[in-house]
Amino acid sequence: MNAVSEPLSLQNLDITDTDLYVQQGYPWSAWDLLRDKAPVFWYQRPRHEPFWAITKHADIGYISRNPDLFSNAQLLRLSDVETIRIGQRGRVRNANRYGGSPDDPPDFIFMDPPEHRHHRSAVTRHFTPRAMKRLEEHFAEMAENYVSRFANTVVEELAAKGKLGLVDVVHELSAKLPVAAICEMAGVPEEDWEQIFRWTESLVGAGDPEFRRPGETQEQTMRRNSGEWRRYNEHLVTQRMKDGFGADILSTLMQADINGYQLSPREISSYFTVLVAAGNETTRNSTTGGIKALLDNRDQLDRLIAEPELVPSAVEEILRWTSVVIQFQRTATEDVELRGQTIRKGESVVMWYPSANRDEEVFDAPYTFDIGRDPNDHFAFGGYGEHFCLGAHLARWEMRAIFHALLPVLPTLELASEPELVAGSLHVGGIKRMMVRAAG
Amino acid sequence: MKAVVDHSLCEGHARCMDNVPEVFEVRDDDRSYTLIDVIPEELRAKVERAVQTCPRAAIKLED
Repeated sequence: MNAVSEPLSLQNLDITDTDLYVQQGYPWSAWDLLRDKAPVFWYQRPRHEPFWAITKHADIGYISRNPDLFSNAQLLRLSDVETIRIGQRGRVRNANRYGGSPDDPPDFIFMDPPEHRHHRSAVTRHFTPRAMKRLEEHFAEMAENYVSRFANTVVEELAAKGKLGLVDVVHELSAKLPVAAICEMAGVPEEDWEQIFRWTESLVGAGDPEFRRPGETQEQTMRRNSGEWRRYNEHLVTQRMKDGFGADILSTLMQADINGYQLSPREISSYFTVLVAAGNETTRNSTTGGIKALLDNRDQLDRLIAEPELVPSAVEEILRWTSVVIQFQRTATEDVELRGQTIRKGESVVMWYPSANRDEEVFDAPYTFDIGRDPNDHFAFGGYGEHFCLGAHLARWEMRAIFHALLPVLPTLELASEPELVAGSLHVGGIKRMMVRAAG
Repeated sequence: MKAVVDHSLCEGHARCMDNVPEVFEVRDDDRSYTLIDVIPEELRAKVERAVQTCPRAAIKLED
């Protein structure tokens, strides 16, 4: 961005500088301007390969419904050229070490139909509403437990330090249920949850020096991390082979019949990593952002306390409001006409989900936080289609349990700091810390 | 008008059943099935909404 006084324009707007995200939060006004003036915009900035910025709900919906026109192979998440280079070196290294080609999909999200469908369907039964229904009471119990420990911590801090007694929502509350739920489902023993959490945190946060070891570069952190993951996964697989299969996702993956063949150890490892990371690095941030939204909008909090049956609807609004996943990328497989622009075969499109979730053509008063919003067709889980978030119901059920348990606690809290965003991440709006204290 | 569910896409998210239980039913195989072949005019708007909001874009309308 140039001089502060310069008004925002298509020439100077910036939606890719991660430092700006950390300093100013999401670039809402840039997205507003794009939706208004150039919803299919050829974006060219230093440190990035050019791409079409897609900011309207309807266009993201169209791209998501047409995986034959917009492919997931190769580029999946927009990153700066340096991060892309690191990723390419990693692919070459892995191919040399484990066989296969550097062009092989790193995990099943990089696949297109029909392959993607075969791989994805191996585990869908673990994530359906029917499966979640069976876990509902268990989640409610865990949520009550985590929330009451969190509330006790707030009270203890108040007793010990008064107004200076601050508690971090992210680590003391928001992180707990997502780790527990996905690890239990995946088949990770409880003594390893803490380690799993640190891995997923630094997987997504490798661009932030806070998640690196002293002296490590981003690339070294990523390499160490993926090596540790892989060894841990091999250990779990060996364990299963010794002790027998269970009802967990790892057992499902090891026994999966994918159109007549079995997943290789490397595929099992990458599949497992995707599920555990996606389960950890999203819901945590929506929960933290939702707590902030309710503390910032006391009228909505009062309404939710008066009408707790609104919790599911409030969760949908929190998902829309926080829009934790920032973007996914696709590559056009042929020339496509969109709003008068021609997207050429081979060109890249980037779908900006938070922008779709403020689209005034879809949401009345999009910048109002309304826990009763209906309809609420947000794209917090991506556009509807082939790659819609597999864990959407898991996230919903977890958040319903947490916010239900939080209802009596929220009015006793006040925000002590704004959320601190993870640096260097253009994919997930990760929150490192958000401090609260006892209100009053 | 007829609604057709693509079972290679459907995963039982059940939004259609929530929207129009008269027309869609998610069964034990986590797939949605249509309960009536010809959709009455008065359900048209609701079925169109089910098409629009299917998380997998798995429902199509045929005339």
